[in-house]
Parts: sequence; C-alpha cells; structure tokens
Amino acid sequence: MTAHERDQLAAEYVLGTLDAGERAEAARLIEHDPEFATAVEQWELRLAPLAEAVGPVTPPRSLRQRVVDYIGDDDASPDDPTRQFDQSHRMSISRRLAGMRIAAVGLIALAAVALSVFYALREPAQPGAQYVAMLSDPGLDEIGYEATIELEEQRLLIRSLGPKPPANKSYEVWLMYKDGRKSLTLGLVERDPSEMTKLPVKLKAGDLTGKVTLAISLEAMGGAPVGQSMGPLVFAGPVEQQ
Amino acid sequence: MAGKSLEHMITGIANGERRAFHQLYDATSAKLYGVAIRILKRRELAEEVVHDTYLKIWHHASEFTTTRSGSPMTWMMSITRNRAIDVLRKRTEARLPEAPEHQDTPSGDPDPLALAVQSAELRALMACLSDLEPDHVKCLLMAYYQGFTHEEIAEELGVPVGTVKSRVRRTLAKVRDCLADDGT
Repeated sequence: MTAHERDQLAAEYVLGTLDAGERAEAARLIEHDPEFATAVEQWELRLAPLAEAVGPVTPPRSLRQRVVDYIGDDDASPDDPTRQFDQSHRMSISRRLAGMRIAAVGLIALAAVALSVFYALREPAQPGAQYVAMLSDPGLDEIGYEATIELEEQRLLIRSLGPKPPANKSYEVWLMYKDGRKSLTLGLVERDPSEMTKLPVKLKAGDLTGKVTLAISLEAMGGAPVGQSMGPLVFAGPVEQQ
Repeated sequence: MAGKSLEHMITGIANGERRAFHQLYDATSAKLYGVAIRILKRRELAEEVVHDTYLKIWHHASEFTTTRSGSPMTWMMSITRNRAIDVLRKRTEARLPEAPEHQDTPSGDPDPLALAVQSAELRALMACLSDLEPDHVKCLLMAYYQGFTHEEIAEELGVPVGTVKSRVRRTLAKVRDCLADDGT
C-alpha cells in the first residue's frame, strides 16, 4: 500500500464511508501497521472538530445507571479487578449484561407501571421544572426530534435529529392526553429550529403530568386550521419530567 | 466544559477514581449521545453505543494522551463515532428496516446552536470547507454526521457513486492540505 493509499483509507475510515468489510480490514491495519494507525490518528484530529457542532441530546437516566452499575459506585484502587479484564472477558461480560437486560425487560415494564402511578398521584411539579420528550417514529422507534419544555419560562425547544418537514408541508407539535382532555397545539416546528421559543399557550404543571404524549403531526403548510390535528402523527413520545 | 477539567477527570479515571468517571459521564454524555443518535437514529442502538463508549473510556483512560488523541472530547467522540458506524454498518448488512420516507431526508448540516460556540479547530476546519464546492462539502458532511456510505450519499443526492467517491476524496485531500497550510 502506497503512502497515498494508506492516507486515503485512513481518511475514509475516520469519515465513516467504508463498508463493514473495509472497516474491519482498516481496524486490523490499525493494530498491525503503525504508520496506518498514525494516519488514522491524524485524520481523527482533523475531522473531530466537526463533532463539536452536534447538539447535545440528553440520554435517558437509565443509561447512567447501567454504566454506573458496571463501573461501580464507590472509588476503588487502580488494582480494582473490574479494570483488569482482557478483551474476551469484557465481551463475555457484555453478553451476560445483554442477557440480563433482556431478563430485566419484564421488571422494567413493571417499574414503568409503578412509575406512571407514582407520577399520576404525586404533587404537581415545581414551576421551574423542565420536561423532555424524545419523539420517535411510531413504526420504527427511530428518534427524530427532542423536545424540551421549561415551565417557569414557558418556553419550548424542538431540536431535530435529522428530519425536516417535507416541502409544502408543516410539522405541528401537540400535547395529547389519554384521559379525554383535549389536545393542545404548541405551534409549528421551525424548519431549522435552534433556540427556545415562547409557548403559544400558558402551560401548568398539570398539563404535563399523567399520561401525556408530545406528538408531531404532518399538516398542510401553516398547520392545522382548526386547532385540531388533521394529518398523521409522524413522531411521538411520552413527556417526562427531568 | 473546560478541556483541562476533562483531562483531570480522565487522569482520575486512569487512577481508578469512580467519582471522576461519574463526573465525566455527567459532563459529556449528552454530547456523545447526540453524536450516536444522529448517526443511528435509534434510541436503543445509541444507548448501547454510548454504554460501550464509557466502558472503553473506563478501561482505556490510561491510553489517552493529548499529543496523540487530541482533546478529551476529540478522543471520546472518536470512540463514539467509530462504534456507532460499526453498529450502523452491521445493521445495514443485516438489512434491518430502513427509515421511513418522511424521515429519509436527513440534514447533513451541523447543529446551528452548537456552531455558535465553536473552538479554534472547528473555525479553522469550517474556513477550509467554506472554500470548497458546496456539493462536495455536502457529501463529506452527510458521511460524517449521518454515517452514510458512498452508495447512500449517491442515492440521496441522485448522483453516480463514482461521483460521490471522487467528491469525498478530493474534499478530504483539500481539507488535509488546507489544515496543513493553516498549521493546524
């Protein structure tokens, strides 16, 4: 492999355009070819600043717990056995954790029921509370938007994770309830949302507690004309207090 | 999120300090999750990638050096992106469901809010990209931010795969030369 070919392969490995086979070959080269490994490091440094421009998305709290469960909650010495595993041992642990996660699904479902009861019964949230919803495609569970509502400031941020409203159509945001309350429109999704906007209606904590879903519907340009969703729901997710 | 404090956290993690690890997670997880979910689009896959990323950080913190790895965020984001793209490629090979049509118009653009606060390195890179053909830059950004292959970019843009490969390679070469001229 010439220096030019090595550099090109390293660049495309870092950029991510290689297919699975090519990536596997590049990963093998990183382990065995120091010059290629150096080329990869250089490309990581060149392109990494692009990742700065990716907006943060709050991960679910359960993820932190999973990571902490693995690492442990208390400080330990550098000789801590959890740090001494070789790769195969770690893979084995990962597989066992995966199995445990599957087994935990039933428990999680139970916990979800318990939590929903807890949220329904507890006192209304404090005025400064923040609520978030990860809005996914109902069919594929692929997240398209992240929504944040700041109750005290009465502000809403809808951040796109990729999708944009189709041409000549609008995406409209709704609060929807399973207890018979009328849906509330929170306005249209900006084509390139980047900052918090004032909510079009005054929301109280009670509007966001219980079984509340934040949803985005596909509407004619300008939104639903009668304050009621007319088009299909394209993204939806439960509202959760942070 | 000062780079120096992240470095201290990683040093602490290399010494087995779980408190430092928890601090690092709290300071960086939203950014890493943002990177992963932008590429993978699926919550459960992004969670797995970020989970694996932090385990790798825990086990390999002692290997982090600013001279070879760049800033702590550079290092962590590289781990996240590489893992996310590996998962994406395997997912594609397994032919799992594709995104629906209305979602299949991903933006190759950086997040405008995050762009408002950018480092000198990002400013230098964006300056290099601003001198290049917008169509060529778009190919590079679609690959970087969405994890697209040449074929997927070609399909998205309606151009031949060879054209995409050529655009990507020329853009990468120009970025390398531009940053070298810039002394970055």
